[in-house]
Amino acid sequence: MSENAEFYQAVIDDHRRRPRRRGPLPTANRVAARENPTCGDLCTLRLRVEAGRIVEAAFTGAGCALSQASASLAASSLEGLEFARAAALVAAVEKLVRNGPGAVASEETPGDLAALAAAHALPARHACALLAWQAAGQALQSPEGADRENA
Amino acid sequence: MRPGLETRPDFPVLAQQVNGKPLVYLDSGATSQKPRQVLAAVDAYYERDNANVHRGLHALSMRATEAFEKSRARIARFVGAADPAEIVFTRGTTESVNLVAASWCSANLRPGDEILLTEMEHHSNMVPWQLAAARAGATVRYLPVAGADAEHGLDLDRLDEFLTPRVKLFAFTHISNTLGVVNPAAELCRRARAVGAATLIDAAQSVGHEPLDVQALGCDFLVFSGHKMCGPTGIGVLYGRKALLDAMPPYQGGGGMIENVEFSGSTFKPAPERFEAGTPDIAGAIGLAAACDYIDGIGRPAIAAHDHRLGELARAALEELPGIRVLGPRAGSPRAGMVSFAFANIHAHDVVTVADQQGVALRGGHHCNMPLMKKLGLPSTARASFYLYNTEEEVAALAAALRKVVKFFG
Ligand SMILES: Cc1ncc(COP(=O)(O)O)c(C=O)c1O
Repeated sequence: MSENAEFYQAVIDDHRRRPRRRGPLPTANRVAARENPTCGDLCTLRLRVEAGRIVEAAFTGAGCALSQASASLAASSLEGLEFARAAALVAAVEKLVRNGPGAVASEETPGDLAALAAAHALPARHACALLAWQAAGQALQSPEGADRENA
Repeated sequence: MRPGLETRPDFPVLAQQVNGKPLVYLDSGATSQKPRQVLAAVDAYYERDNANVHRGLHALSMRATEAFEKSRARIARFVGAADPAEIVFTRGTTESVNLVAASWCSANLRPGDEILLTEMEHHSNMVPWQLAAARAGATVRYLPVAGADAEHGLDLDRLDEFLTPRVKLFAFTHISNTLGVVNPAAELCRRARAVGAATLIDAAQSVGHEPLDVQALGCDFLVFSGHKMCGPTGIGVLYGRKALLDAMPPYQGGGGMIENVEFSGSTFKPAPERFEAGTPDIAGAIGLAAACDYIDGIGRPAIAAHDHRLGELARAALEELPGIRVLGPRAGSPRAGMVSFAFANIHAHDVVTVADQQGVALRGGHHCNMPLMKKLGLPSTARASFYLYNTEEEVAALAAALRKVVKFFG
């Protein structure tokens, strides 16, 4: 569907159809849930952090294709990152979506993440694209502890 | 002139491409497009007559005042009001409701009283009453929508249970912006009167679409926005029966609404000026009167028949699509010219974004009725709404766009 190339790019469609890192994470020690009440999108992001590094990340949730694909991108790209690098990535994605591809150097949002730039042209959908990333930002700041939902 | 194709040259905005496709504007329920005649009336006012109203003694001010008051009289005629003084200009439906909720409620609502709404109200006919009730120590109750899936009309069998003498005011929408249900407004007003409750009708979705007469409806208040009926944004109307308006305290204070001001206090003009503090939207009122002329030039019975026909065509076409749930009245019950729908596995935002890529403008979301959405068990729906300038070809374009949506997300 070529006319949708700008938005539902192959990457987003791929992550929507085959979400990475979707599911529970019983070993998580950081968790944050975000909701967008205006459209009902939900995202819970779970991290297992060890020695300042995200060793595992996973999400659960429901919502529009963009919010779920973005959550899949978030969980899969945060895994393995040092804490500071993860926080920088969250900030870079937010800038990419809000301010457009010109606002961030391409190495700041590597690989598939660049696809999220397509959401910039749709201001009404910024909240969808950023939901998981805001959950990630919150999880990074949350106190360490067992994920009660999973306990 | 008949609704449909013949009207399209009057709407310059419709003759454009969006995302490389001809624009198919199916979001008139959110705001309608404006015909040249309305734009010209606003331009002519600014080019020839612009001045402040009610204060100047010079020629332009007198012309502006005359045009403003003529507009009021035109709008009174449009809704069947007995007296132009029953027409208060506001910013729109929302401000009109807030005006009554602030002013009428402060004089009439006591602890223990009830305000009755329905579950299908727009937030703008819900939140102001919640605020007023909290101020007065009163309670807001909601007449439920009927049907196992909660998407049909109001549950009128339960009206007596809710419409008790404790109810001081019953506010309800004429046409639901979410379901397309047409409520039996005259009957609801009659039943409210029987228990001594005042009535307010939210006519935002009906006044530009259907024949409407406040005296035949028997309501105390009726509110609407200009922008949903071919008029400009920023102007709206509160119709109130003269006796009620004159007994209500001011809403906002300022110039234009006072009789006499002393440092120790002030006295106020009667309605409608009492409720129009400050310089009003003069051009908006003139544009709205031009919109009344335009609509009546086509005729509201013809517009209603046209809208309903497109709504029914759309409903029938959409029900063919796999995995769709079309909301609203059962076949045969009154349905306004709109169709809300939801796909089992496709979020409304995705529907709207992909339709937009086909040039088809839809609304997607909770339609400013979060509690109803919760009851429907849906986070959001998509909606196509029709008006006098839409065509059968556009219904076909909608169906084609939605087939692409299904194919893309299927
Ligand atoms: C039924 C209904 N009531 C009230 C409103 C609010 O109108 P406005 O935003 O013009 O004040 C709308 C418009 O969305 C509506 O559809």
